[in-house]
Amino acid sequence: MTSLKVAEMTAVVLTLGGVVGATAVPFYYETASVERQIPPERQVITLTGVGHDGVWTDEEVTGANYWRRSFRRARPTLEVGKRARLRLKSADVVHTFYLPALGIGPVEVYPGHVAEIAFTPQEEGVFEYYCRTVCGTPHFNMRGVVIVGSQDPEATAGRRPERVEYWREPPPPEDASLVRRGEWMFRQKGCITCHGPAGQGGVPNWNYVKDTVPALNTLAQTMFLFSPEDVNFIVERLEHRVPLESLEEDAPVPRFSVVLAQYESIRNVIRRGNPAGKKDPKGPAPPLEMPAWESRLSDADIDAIIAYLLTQQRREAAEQTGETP
Amino acid sequence: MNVGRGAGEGARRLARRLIHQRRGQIVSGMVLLLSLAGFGALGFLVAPTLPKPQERSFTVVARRYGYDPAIIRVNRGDTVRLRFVSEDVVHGFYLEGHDLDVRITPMRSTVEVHRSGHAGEPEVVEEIVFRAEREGKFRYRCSQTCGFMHPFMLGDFVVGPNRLLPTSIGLAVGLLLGGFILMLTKSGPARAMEKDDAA
Amino acid sequence: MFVQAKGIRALAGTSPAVATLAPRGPATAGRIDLLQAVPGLRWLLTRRWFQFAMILPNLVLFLLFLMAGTFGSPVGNRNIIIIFVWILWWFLLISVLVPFLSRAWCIVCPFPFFGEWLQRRALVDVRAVDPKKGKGGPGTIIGRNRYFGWNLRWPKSLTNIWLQNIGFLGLCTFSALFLTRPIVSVGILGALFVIGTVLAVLYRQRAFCNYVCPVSGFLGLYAMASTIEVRSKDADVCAKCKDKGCLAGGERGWGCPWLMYPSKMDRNNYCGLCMECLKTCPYANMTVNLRPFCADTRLKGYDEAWKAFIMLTLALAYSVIYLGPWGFLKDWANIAEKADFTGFLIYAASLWILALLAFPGLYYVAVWLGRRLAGADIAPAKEVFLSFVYPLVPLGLLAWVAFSLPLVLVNGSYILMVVSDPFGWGWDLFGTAQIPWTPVIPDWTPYLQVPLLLVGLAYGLKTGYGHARRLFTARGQPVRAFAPVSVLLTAITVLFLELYLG
Repeated sequence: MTSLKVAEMTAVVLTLGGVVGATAVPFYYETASVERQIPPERQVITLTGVGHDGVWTDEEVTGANYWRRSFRRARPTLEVGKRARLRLKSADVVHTFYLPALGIGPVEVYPGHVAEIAFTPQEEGVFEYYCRTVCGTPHFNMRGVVIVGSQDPEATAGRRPERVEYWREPPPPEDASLVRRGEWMFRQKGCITCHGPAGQGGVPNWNYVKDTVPALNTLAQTMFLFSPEDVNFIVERLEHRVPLESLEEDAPVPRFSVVLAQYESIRNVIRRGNPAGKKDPKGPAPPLEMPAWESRLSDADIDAIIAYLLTQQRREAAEQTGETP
Repeated sequence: MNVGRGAGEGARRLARRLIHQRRGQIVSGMVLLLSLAGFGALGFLVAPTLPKPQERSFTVVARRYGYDPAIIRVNRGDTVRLRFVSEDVVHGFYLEGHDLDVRITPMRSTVEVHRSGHAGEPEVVEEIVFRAEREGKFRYRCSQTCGFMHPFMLGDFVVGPNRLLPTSIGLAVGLLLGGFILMLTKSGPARAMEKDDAA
Repeated sequence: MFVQAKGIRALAGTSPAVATLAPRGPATAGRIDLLQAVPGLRWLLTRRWFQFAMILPNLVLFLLFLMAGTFGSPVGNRNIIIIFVWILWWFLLISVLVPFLSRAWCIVCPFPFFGEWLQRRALVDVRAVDPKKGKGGPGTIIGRNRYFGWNLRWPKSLTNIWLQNIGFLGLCTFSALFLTRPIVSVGILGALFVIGTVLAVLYRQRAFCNYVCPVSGFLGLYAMASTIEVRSKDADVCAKCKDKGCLAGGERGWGCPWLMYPSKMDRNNYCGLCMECLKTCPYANMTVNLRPFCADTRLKGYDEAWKAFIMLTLALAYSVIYLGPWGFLKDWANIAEKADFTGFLIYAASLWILALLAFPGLYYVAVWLGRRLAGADIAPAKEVFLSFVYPLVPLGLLAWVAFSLPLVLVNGSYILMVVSDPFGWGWDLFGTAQIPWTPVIPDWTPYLQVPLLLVGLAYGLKTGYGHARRLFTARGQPVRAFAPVSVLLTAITVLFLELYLG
């Protein structure tokens, strides 16, 4: 009987030990192992890519919270000259972290793996980070800033477009004009995130040959359309789905063959994408580059966007000269 | 030596006895095997004859969690040209039995091809071209974690004449009909079964 | 037996020695007493600590799974709960434990652990009534053991596996959620712990396992095919036995927690292999036998028949959804992400109608046709129906194995990965965390699936015809009676072949 009592007590102790152990040991191990790897003088940032929010977040993303909430966009602050360790995770799909200003990445981050990068920030500043692999609808929002030193992030905020939930842009009515549909598409597909509202441009692109993403409200000039009438003519033809090639013979627009060639090359850039040229050939690749839209935009969609951007030029010009459109 | 010969003799005697005791079972086993083999062979032979090899092109559109086309049918000897598009996130195209693993990045007109033979940097191409050499059904599966249902994102690559299907259907039918023959030869009340059930 | 034993058994891979060389007696045809054959096994199984020692590691493991599901990576294939429970556990359960070891899972199952602890207030100890002191004292006396909790009797109307049938079908309707989301799996496993514990406090003994646990239902059904069993050795010893310890318990052990009468047990369905009857039997007359595949052949109620329909329908539906190329079906099932309610409704309704009405209806027509063909109808209709549903046990079990095989072969490398990094936190405990996803012989799996399905069909035909010969006695009658069902069984097999190979 006594041996049975001993067995029973042992069983109870083992059970309680098992329950407590299973609950506590993983956390203990995680804390201990991370601390073991990282000396106390280092600063540690853990960022997790979350596709459905389009953010790199510094919050903990777990099985329990992933699918019921949104996550905060990380805006980590680092000290100058102090060793830092970046731990990158993905909560869902493949993301690519890129912080060209600090020479970090592009580094592919796979779900369930942790990519670790050690670096030492050398100068003060506000540096933009990105996701460089299209990772879902909100991908174009997936960027944020790292602040080194005591820089005020708001001081530079004006140079970046606001992050809007572009994919929620309400669609125009069925019978909307081509220009209106183009406007919607320009916003809804996320073009505004890089090219700015109404294609104003001005979004900085690290080590890009032109420093900022090209403005698109000069598209009419690019297409050699210098008068509102010419723009109107082209937009109307596009609206009626007349192939511009068929107008070659008797178009009233001057230098029509040049217009046509430019139109073709613009469509081609939208369809096939365009790598961004480097300013410093030895420097990092610019983080923003034109993606290939052929799988997401039909030819009619592309025409609508072109039409919209052509009229942007006209409206702005009208505002400048004080005329009422 | 003697022991060995004795054991061999014993084994032979045991085998003879077993064969004698279970003659009925051996005969019915033969019937079943013949039926299986016959119908299996029939299935193997009814497979369609292949038309002349041709070139077939497909654009595979990947999205969470499926491919379009969901089923790619070609014939052995055909040249297969594949282009890829991803509609949402990074997907893969791992083709079973073909040492081919493609990484499809959205909004990029090129894909990265990984093959086990070529370690290191993946090959970047716009199109994959290969000859369908092996017949049968090979699934293509997503190889890049792409979301919740990722492990179940797949499609079928069926290379004709895919004789395994008619052969196996033939085997099933052979089993049924062979079974019928056996049933007819020994239909009647079963004592063995009753005993089993009483147990 | 219409199909000769040797060919089929060789196909099945079960030992032909069992069938051919064992001494044949009325009750022990083709049985080998494992406790006699394996030295030390009886000693091990009759230790009071045996089951506790089996459960404890598993309990710790499952608690770890719950932690990983809650706090670990939300990515299913990088979280141990998904990979271990739905890939490894499921595969081992359906293709190793159930076909070969009966309900061995129930020995190690952690879900009723806390409930049983509360009921018994003992993990290894036995609370027996001391005959000298009488029956006074705390708790409730059942047989010769003392139990705690309310010890209510389970409602008579629910003394069947209908709750398990509906529960399992309901759960499986949402498989796309728990198969892919760690947190949903946590919810389900956690619920099993909670319900198991609560029911143990309210009701007698293993009411949860017997009538509620959704896993238990199919374990019981498919354990009928299994190659081991717990049985009495000598019926005469049991007949003369006054002690009835297997039923009533005693100082050496608890009365059967599954409310069986072990000495009269003739099927595996509701035996959880807890080994208490081995301990309580004063004559060491209970034992564990090795036996041929598909030795229990009698379904005893419509609840069990419908379990067979549900299981085969689910194997078919899962083969279509998870092994099929059709993305829109995956979207329909994947309600939480795609939120396509119409699609989900179509999918769920077709699943339920197929499992509960259409497939049983079709089967009923086949059985009815067979009875018409056979002419004179001696056996009761219900008995004929249940007997002819039995072939769905081997057919269904092997279809499930054929379905699960590619899942584990394709995703097996994830097992190595999550062993090193169970939470998806970037650990590398055993150096296997970075192993790339590597499918194992994916192009050869059809060659494994075909024999599996054919073996299922062969056993289905064999057992079905065995029943036909028992139920229809006139010459030629059994064949005619079984013909439509056998054609239906073959058609089902062909359907699976089309899905896997076509």
